Amino acid sequence: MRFRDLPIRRKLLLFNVATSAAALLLVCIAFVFYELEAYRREVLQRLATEADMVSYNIVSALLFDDQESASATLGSFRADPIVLGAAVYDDRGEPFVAFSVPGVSPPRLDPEMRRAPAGHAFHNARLVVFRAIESEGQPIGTVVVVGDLTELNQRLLWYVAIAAAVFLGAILAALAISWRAQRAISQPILHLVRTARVVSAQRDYSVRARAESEDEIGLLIRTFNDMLAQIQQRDDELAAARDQAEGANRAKDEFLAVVSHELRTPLTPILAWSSLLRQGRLDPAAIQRAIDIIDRNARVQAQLINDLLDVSRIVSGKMKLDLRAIDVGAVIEAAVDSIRPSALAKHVQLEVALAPHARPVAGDAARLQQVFWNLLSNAVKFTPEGGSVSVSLAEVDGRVEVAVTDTGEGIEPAFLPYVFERFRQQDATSTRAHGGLGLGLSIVRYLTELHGGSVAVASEGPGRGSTFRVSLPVVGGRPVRAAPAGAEVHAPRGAATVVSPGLRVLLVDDDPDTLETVGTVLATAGAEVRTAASASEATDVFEHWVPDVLVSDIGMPGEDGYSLIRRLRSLPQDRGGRVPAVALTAYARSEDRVKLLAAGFQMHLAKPVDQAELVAVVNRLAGSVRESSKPA
Amino acid sequence: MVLTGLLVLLGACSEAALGAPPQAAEEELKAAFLFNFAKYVEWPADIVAERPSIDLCVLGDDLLHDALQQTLRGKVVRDKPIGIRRLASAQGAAGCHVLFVAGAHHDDMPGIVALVQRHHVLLVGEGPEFLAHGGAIAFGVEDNRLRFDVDADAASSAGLKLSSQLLKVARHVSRRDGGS
Repeated sequence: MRFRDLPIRRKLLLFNVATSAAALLLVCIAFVFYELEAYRREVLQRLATEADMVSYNIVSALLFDDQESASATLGSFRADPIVLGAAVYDDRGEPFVAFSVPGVSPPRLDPEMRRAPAGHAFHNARLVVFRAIESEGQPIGTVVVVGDLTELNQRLLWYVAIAAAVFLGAILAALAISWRAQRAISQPILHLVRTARVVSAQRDYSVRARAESEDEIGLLIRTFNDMLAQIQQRDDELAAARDQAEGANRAKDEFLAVVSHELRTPLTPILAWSSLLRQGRLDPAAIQRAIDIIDRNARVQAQLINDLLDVSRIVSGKMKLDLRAIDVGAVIEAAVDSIRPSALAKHVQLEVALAPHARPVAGDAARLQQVFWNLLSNAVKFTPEGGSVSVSLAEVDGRVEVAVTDTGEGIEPAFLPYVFERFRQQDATSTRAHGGLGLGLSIVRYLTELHGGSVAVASEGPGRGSTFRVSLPVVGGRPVRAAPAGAEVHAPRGAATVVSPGLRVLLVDDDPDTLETVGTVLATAGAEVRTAASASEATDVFEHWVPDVLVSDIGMPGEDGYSLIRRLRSLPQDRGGRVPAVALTAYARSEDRVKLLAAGFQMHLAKPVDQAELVAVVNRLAGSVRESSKPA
Repeated sequence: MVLTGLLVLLGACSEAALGAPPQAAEEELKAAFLFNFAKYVEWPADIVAERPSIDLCVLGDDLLHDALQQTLRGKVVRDKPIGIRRLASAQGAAGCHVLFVAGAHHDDMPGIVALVQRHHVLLVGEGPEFLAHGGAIAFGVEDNRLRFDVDADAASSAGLKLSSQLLKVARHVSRRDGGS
């Protein structure tokens, strides 16, 4: 097993023991060397001292040639057990006296010994020390002594043995200490490892490791815990986001189901009654009812499509307001007027209580009317027969407050926060009692907030009715009672309008049904109508018949409405180059409108078009032409 | 010692059969001993300080005088040069530090002893009887080697101190208390 793969506690143990061992080894080696050196010094010191004494004491014996006395003096070396032998040489290098232990010859005189006053040499486990013998400053001989250093080797063995014992003992002590000490480091790490394994294996991010120290390991564990907390939080957020996304997706699916259902529902009476009408066996009263039913259902469908378009505008941020100072009371009255027929049909009582002198608000009358119409229509829809819907207007603290209260089925408290959310309906199941897309209230809230206002809902609970309050900021100035600006857009329904008799209208559309329907409407209103199924056909008509007003579709195969109007605008005035043109198209977005007007159309009408509106527009365009051309 | 080897060499080569060392070698040895004695004798301080040299005097032994002249010329003891004199009579001994008296003058010893005791002279002679006459150191030959005996009392009577180193190598040391 490689060192790097060893467990941390083993590594720590090895580190400690290796460090201790290295230090101890050095200390032991130093100890042995020091002791050896000390011993050598001691022996040298001893022999040198003895040689000094002998060299001093032996002077007279040498001077007076007294070998007996010299032997006695030299004999002092015998007392030292390490001395193997000694000799005295005279100044000519001749031996004077000598002695040695058995088996050893007395030390010899090396020539260099005669040149130096003192010296020593270690070799072969022996120490040779020599001293010059002097009298009156003159060398008269040399004393040489040789000591035995074999004891040194024995001491060396002894020292090594001691060092080895100390070394072993110290290593054992280091092992014991580091065995205890490594736990302080390895235990928290092992704990962290176990925790990490649990987290990894069980994917349980709520587990935490214990941090018991303030050192790096404690910091590591705390950081690990922080990371776990972040992962856990992110996990929760992901789960929440996933739930939300799934919820939104579900809501959209439900909404799509509702849309297709709601769009299909009005088709059933329309198709059924138009089929009955085609059979021609209905009496006049039945015919009138059939027409009313078809008309009402077509309008319901148109309203659905308008709501969808509004939502599309809201989502894309394209909703624009045409702000003016308007009288909210008048707008409410217009909304009430348009809702009254359905309230009457359902025997729901409408109560209107408007403060007479409310100050104006800055608003788009058409959009505000849409807000109130939506609220009223909802109220009537959810109020059972015999119930009542009341609408009130009051000015409170510089704000205009409009409350729409019904005695209807109320709202579950749990659903209250979601009332204004798009695609949300309290009951989105296919067995629900009420139709609708669930867009009305989201449009209400959006438009209200676009006006700088707010809308709130309150309900005592199911079966106890509900109240919607719209609050709008007032602008300074006197109370006004202006005519609602939206009135001209929402022309009275079914009002038969006529055009100047014989007004020439050219109708261009690739759809034969549209051609026939619209053509019939205009013809019924008194116009002379010609139709063309394509742009080129329309151009041909212009060759010999210049109309007073052009009503053209935009999306057509081959050449579209844009191309047609550009070509016509290039014609001279007497050939119809300036004929007023209305675009009648399903392209109902505002950018489509801008593009149309830039291409040369004077007006834009979105399909499906209200008959009265179409007639009014045609009339207006014809009139403006007439007015502008009259002086000319 | 310088002359020991010579002595051994000579003794081995020529005069080995004789009971005494050859004359020339013996005189030289004695000369060396006289010189060495001067190293181990302590005179009263003024005796050394007032005089320019350490004087070795010989009475009645011209051979020894010659040997001294030959072997000790230019030598120094206690930072003073060695002076060598031959005395015609004991009267000249007053200025000597060491006086060798040959056996022929043993009869004059009482006068000499009285003189040298006053003038702190180390009295060296030959034979055991020389000490009996009042000398301090007497040469003697033993086992073919030159040795010497010391009368410590005679030396101290002359106001001289003999080094223990000297006494250690003497063959016999006599004292008044009878110790040796």
